[in-house]
Amino acid sequence: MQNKKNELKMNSLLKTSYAKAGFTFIFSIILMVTLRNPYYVGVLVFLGIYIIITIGLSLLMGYTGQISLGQAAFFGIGAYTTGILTTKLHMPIILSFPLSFILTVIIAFIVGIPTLRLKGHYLAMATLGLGEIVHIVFNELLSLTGGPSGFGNIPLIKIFGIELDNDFKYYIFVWAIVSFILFLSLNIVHSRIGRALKAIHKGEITASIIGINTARLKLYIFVLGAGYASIAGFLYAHYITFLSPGTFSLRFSILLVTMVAVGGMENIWGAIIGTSVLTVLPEYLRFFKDFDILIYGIILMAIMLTRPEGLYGIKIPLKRTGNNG
Amino acid sequence: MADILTIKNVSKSFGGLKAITDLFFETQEGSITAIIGPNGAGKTTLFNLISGLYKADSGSIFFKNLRIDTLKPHKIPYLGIARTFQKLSVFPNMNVLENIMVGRYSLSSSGFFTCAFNLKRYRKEERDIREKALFWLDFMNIDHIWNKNIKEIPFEKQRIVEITRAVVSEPELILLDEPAAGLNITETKNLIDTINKIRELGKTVLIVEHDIDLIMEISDKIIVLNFGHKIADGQPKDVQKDERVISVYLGKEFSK
Repeated sequence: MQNKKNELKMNSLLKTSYAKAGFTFIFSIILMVTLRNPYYVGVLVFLGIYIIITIGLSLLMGYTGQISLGQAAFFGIGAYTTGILTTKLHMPIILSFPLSFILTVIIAFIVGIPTLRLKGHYLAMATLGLGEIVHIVFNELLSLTGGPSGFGNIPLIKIFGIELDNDFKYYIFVWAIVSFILFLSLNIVHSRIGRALKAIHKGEITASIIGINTARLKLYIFVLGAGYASIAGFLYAHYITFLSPGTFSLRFSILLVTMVAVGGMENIWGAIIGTSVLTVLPEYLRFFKDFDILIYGIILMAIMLTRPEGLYGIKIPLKRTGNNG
Repeated sequence: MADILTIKNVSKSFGGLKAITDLFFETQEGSITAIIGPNGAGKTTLFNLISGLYKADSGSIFFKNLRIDTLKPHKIPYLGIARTFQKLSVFPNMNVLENIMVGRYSLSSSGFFTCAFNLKRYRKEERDIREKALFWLDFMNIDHIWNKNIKEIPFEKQRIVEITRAVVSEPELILLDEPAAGLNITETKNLIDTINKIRELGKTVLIVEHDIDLIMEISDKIIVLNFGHKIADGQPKDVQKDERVISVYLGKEFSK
């Protein structure tokens, strides 16, 4: 009994979410310092933004077994809301951020409440529809969104009097938020909520007789994922300072689902690995010029054929990988 | 002793099939009641009705004078009712300890926010969940496998894990659906000890089982179902001699 407790204590000391999030942040800073090249740092800013979305998506897909094809829409709602509020209404960013977040969450509730009561893949269908609606709104609401050509001049973020006007400053800001979101998500996964989510994934009936309100918990995790996507959208808008509907298409939603699937659905780190591979890979494939898409496809197929459960936990010689997120 | 569970004239049919017809019985607090009968007699249907998975067509179910047949399944454990399934329902994506910790869900309340921000209230609750889970692991003699993956342990232990998951929610009434199915003689003996240990804690047990030796040994009262009708209800020694029970279920050799 005492032994067991000590063992558990050791585990929790080495594996706290504080330590993991902290290491992630430190690692990202080291990466930035070693890379130095603003172009690569820019790629990694995008990587951070995508990771925020895929962490939320992996909670939904890996833990509740639901698929959302509308993450690009939530990403877009977050981006467009803050973009429109700051350029058209000249609202300060400190106000546009919570407003864009709240709007996304409300829309996620509206989509999620009826669909998550149903069993099966109705959420995928509903979010597919949402994605199309949002895309049409971005294209047609010319007075606010500028239509297909988009709109620009979105102000930069200023914190503590420092304007985030270059890739390095923005990189630190984005990765601080990534680490924070990782911290929150790891806490959720290891809590009673996380256990309940795993229970839902393997058996909804059993989960319900333990006292888990499965429909409500699935709804909350879906809304949480939408909220994360909205934060990512906010970061995207104030980094690129220009928005057009093309970014927020179904294609991007599918790419996000692919990232989670390639990395390994049953683990948050899987989402991070999958996102990293699929974001960084195209950069390396530029070398192949016209054949890059072809090779990209072959690599994806090879991964899914040889490792259908995802890249996470793969045994790499020389390097030991952990087995418990 | 007071009645803890009362089934009042409950009927349930699936289309034209009458699974349970006008069933009436009560269970005393702290007792072990067995429900036996041939396959298709409505035993598991009864469990599903009590745990809220099915809604009764007519009649009512009372738990400690509270009507429960109108409640959603996820509300039932909060009243103090836990169950296991005939088809093993442990979670293969968690280890033994986690499988038991998840059983404390109805006794904990930290929400998303409290968990996500690792607040003090959550940490205290999580510690409590873990300690209680470890206590019951010890109690059920499975503490040596606490960190094993559920797929790595023998079938019998998986059964015990499932029962422990039910017990850890500190219910007053436990429903065991064929706990001895698939177990050998030694394992069944251990199971009997375990069930007796649970009874000694003052808990009420309702058990569906085909292993007649087990039933005769542990139960205070036996209810015999046949095609959804109750055909006998009483102490083991009386039920054993009942002509109708012998003809539909027990068979001639057993009555000697």
